[in-house]
Amino acid sequence: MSLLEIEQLRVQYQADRRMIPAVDGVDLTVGAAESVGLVGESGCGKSSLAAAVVRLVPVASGTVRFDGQPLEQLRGGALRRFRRRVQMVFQDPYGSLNPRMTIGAALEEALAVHGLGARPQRLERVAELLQCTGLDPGYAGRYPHELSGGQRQRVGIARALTLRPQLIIADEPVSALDVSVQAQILGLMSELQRSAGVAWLFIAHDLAVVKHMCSRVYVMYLGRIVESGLTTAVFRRPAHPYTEALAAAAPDIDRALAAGGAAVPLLRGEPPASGTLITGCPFHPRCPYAREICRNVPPALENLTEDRRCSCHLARERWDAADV
Amino acid sequence: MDKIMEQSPACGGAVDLSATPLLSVEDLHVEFSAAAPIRAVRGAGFTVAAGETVALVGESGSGKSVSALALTRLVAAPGRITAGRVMFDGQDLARLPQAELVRLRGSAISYIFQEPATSLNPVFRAGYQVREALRLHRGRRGAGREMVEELFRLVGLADPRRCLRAYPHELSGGMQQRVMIAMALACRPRLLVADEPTTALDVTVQAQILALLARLQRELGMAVLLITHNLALVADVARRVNVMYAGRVVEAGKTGEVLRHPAHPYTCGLLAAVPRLRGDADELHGIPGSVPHPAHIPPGCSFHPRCPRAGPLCARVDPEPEYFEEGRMVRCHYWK
Repeated sequence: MSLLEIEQLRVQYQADRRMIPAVDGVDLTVGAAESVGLVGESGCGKSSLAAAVVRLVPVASGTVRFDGQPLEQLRGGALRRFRRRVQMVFQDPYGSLNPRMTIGAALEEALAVHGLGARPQRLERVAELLQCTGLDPGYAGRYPHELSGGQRQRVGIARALTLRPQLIIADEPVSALDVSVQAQILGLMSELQRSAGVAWLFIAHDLAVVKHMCSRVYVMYLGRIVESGLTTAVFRRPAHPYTEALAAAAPDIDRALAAGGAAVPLLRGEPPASGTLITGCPFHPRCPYAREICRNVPPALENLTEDRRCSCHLARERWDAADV
Repeated sequence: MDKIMEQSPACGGAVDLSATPLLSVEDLHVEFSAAAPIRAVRGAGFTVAAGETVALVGESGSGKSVSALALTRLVAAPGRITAGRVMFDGQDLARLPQAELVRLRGSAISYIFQEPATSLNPVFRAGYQVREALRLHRGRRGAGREMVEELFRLVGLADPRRCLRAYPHELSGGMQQRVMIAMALACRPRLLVADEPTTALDVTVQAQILALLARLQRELGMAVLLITHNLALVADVARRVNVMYAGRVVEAGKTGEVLRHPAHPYTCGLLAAVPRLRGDADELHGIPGSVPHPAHIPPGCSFHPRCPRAGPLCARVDPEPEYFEEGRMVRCHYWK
């Protein structure tokens, strides 16, 4: 049993008297102390999925189970206890910290809300949190504007760690940071996975960051998972044309230096707005390989190998052809 | 002009390196006056040849965007150029009379920025805004609707007629950036300054915009100064690169050589911090600390507090630029 099990999750938003599906039947699991990536372009539904897991937005249908327990049944105290075990880290740490609260107060608040420890113990825990995220305990008295972007994201992570969660959902946690600082934060996240046994659901658009951080990855397009598998294998040999296009479009130092070749735009156009009605495979209007069947029949997510799943009518054929 | 000295597939253009460069920035200083003066650019220097793509790469606060704006004196008060020259086509733009400078902006040098949505006026149609650019520089006659439609076709907007009449919010991010590029190219500039032109876009759209810029550059023979924080982007598109740190260029040279054999410890550090999609090198190394605030630049070499190679000399003496090989420059006491 996995720590987090998502089955056929649907999330929808109302717009102009009609329901727009943002997440459209997603299956996803995260094991204990595992680090799992979720990638896709803006608007693909990856952040909605995260918000639904922590019940920040309502689930339209499907189940989310944490440690075997279905979340929709949780109420009151049980829901509060669940929230201790799953935390979130957001992209913009400045936007998610109260500018009028000191760092120490922000970290202590969660402990107070959950009624954990007396004041001296709480302060002790705050100092410990700052230390383990690489910040001087003296920062407890400072305000968010006195910190650099990297330091603020350390605070964001420290706050997520306050209640000793088993799973942290991180939504683009490093994309606002400079590359020299990004590497520090990624290092910290990996270290917490090893030392504190934290599992990460890591949402990002940067494939290289995901490859570095996660052992498994899910690729999302228009609210659905189009491919999943072991990260290194998926990026080395993508099965879905969309994954292939994402990997080809990502600028890459090694490729540029080796071949003098720039990133290749395999795709035309941009992802359609969610809610656009597309018959057949949702990707077919942008797919360079689309055939008749793709225009009419939606493909199912099927196992290609033991670890690899892909929803593409041509996946099997293309996979076998490339094997020879 | 037509003499082809070097053809590089990565930068896509024919580059004439024999002549004086199109743009030559020398010892540029930009300060923002405050209680303690904020020295955003402290003696930056770089060149761009006609038709060439050159990158200024650095992290936030390195002074790369301020340098780009200072080329045409677009730095807003209380910021101002306190020293240095910006030689463009034989004239010093830092000292050119305002009226002449205004004529150059948009016609000889134009800009595209990171957020196309904030660069476009939300209450005017896209076509009107591009025509306005043409009208300013060419008068009423030079700004026909057909001309804008032609420009929209050139930048690969799928339905140019519809885009002419569209308001910015009716266009996607990629289409908005194409409109910005159309506007920037309206008067056939000789230099396009692209400040993080694809940072707000998805990678698939980024690849399209970069391919578009490379094609336009080839067809129109224009030079591009690319401002970015992304080394992978630099590797993809720029022929030469200038690495900026704390307001100056600390390393420069041909892109391939700088990225393969970095000389400055900061460049080495940046390269070790970038996660790679290909290859198995998996260990990431951040650079300890963060970029100094321009009001508190450390004495001596500005990188020394974060530098793994720093010696006693570095905290006291600011290293001078040293030149080696062909076109390589580095500012470091211990680069050898």
